[in-house]
Amino acid sequence: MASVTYDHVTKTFGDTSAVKDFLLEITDGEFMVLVGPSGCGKSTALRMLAGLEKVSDGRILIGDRVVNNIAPQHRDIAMVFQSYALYPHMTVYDNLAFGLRNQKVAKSDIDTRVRRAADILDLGQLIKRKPKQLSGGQRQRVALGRAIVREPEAFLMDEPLSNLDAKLRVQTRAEILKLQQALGTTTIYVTHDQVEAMTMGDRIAVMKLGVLQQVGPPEELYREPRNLFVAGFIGSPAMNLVPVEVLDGAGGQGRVAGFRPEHVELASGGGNGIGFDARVEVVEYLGDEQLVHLTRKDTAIQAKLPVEEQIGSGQELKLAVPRDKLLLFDADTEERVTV
Amino acid sequence: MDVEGLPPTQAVEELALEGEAAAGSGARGIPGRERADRVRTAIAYTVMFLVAALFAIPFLWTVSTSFRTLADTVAGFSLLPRHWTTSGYHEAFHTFNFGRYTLNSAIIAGAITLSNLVLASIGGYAFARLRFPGREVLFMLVLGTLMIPDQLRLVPIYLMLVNWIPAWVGHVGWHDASFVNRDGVILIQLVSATSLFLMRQYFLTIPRDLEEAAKLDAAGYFKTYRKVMLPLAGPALAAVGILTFQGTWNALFWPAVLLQDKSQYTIPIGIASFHFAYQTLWPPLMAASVLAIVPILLIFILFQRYFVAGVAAAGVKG
Ligand SMILES: Nc1ncnc2c1ncn2[C@@H]1O[C@H](COP(=O)(O)OP(=O)(O)OP(=O)(O)O)[C@@H](O)[C@H]1O
Ligand SMILES: [Mg+2]
Repeated sequence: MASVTYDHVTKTFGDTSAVKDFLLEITDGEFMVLVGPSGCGKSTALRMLAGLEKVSDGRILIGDRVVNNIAPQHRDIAMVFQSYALYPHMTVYDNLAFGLRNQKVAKSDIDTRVRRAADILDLGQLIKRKPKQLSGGQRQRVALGRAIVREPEAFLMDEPLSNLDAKLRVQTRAEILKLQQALGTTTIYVTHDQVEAMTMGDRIAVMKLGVLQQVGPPEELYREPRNLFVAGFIGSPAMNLVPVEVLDGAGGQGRVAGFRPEHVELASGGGNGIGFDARVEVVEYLGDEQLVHLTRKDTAIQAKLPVEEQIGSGQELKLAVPRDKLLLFDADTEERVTV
Repeated sequence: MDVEGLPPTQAVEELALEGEAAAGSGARGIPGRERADRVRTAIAYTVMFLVAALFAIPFLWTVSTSFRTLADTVAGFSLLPRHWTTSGYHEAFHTFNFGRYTLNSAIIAGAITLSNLVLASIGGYAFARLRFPGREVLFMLVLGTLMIPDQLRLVPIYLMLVNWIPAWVGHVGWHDASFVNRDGVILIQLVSATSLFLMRQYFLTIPRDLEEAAKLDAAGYFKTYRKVMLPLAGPALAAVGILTFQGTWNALFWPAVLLQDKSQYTIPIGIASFHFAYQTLWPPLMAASVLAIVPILLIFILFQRYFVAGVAAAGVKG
């Protein structure tokens, strides 16, 4: 196991830069998630670490070894592909053993390692099957198995769950986490799904257009997003981001006020929050809560409210946001301002 | 359907199945259309039958003639032999040394097929996936050779085989080498542009992820080719194998030009020698033709499934 360091890494394709001045330190044994919208450079960042793309500028270190010019197979990493990239003509066993054989690992050693990995991932029954005889979830486990048998310094995973259906995705999410904790292997996990990022990452790195926006543990990104992009990207439903003028008493000018739907309360009397009125447009029933879509001064606002309240469209509601839950951003720089 | 995750062969088959399903479910349940459909089907079948007959009749005529006596062949039209005899076959083997010609054909077609499989798959992989300067230009050149008819290349190639190449190998100490006859025929057909093209197109359809996975699995270029790409290229290999074998087995042009030694004659050249100045011995000639078709027929029946998939896949992404 080892740490992984991106030291001012840049990647350009022709005249577009996919990753710009990327600076990130991943500590030994950490589960780091790279998240961001499509095309923001997550895969490129990961592929440079794998050695599948050349670094245009900067250095990448695994442990204290600069790997820029080291061939992929000598970087001691293992990658799980979005498509799984299982060899279709090989059995599960051979899929797992292929890399080890190429590295000239002793035959008996290969066998123990493959069987151990198959055991961990519950692939024992399937060891003689070919990939096309497996379900999507099983293929996914084989892909993980191929990474595990390598016993690498780091796991690289590029959207490994995106080909699974919603239910299986949640289940596999937990399995990957459990596995990573058991093995303690440094993991860099790419996803565009912020829920996946929030639930899995020890820390999360949010990217946009090739630029790293913020790195931190999930709670930190949730509570203290550094800019408007991170504020809007992290959390579901998304944070309300409205011009301060919409909220009387939020203060300041040229600011954007941010507050999460789950922090909006029904104002019963005084309280010390910032109160406002809004008209109900639509109500979405979520089971334990209801998501209320409102408008105030032609601005859409969402609020998550207890189901006990009877709320119907067209109704005027008196609401409030606690002061300590309100974030302010500079409308021009989009950075968060502290007051 | 996630075609991407499947091996290319299977993906192609599944796509084909989908196509069939889509075509079959068209008009069902719309009463007015049913008759129109039946008429269209009838027309289609008639046309197909006529086309098939166009190809089949000469062949059946050949088979029928091979079982006739020589007298029968000149006695006016009859669909079936008036006297059935296998003497045509006897004669083909005993008087005209058909066995020898078959062996020669097999050696030439076999060697050329083998070398096409090996060289076209290596070359096709390189053209599909390796990055090297001049790759596109080189590939265009390869394709360009398809536009030059053999007749135009005949003289230069002949001169090369007779003069240049023996001179070159003479420089490295291989004296008295001859590159006409069988060696020449094989040498100039070691790999064809068509084979290269088919293989390249097929390799382009294999997902790049697989190669990257192999790279991380410590497989170099050659190992990736041999252990990952080649096993997945079955359909394309079948297509190249069948096309090459059939083409060289039946070929007349280069053997006619280069084979000077009678003991190296192939079947088509041998058959041509059944023509005499004053009389053609039709029964043994036709018997030889029928026998010559057998291996091609067998190979085609055995590998047809792969062949279709291979040509289809090469065409899909063409
Ligand atoms: N080989 C390439 N050649 C040219 N441009 C590329 C190449 N690979 C990626 N890019 C560009 O780099 C940018 C980042 O791509 P990348 O694949 O890293 O995005 P991503 O964050 O993984 O997106 P997604 O979530 O859709 O997978 C994109 O604008 C993409 O078009
Ligand atoms: Mg990606």
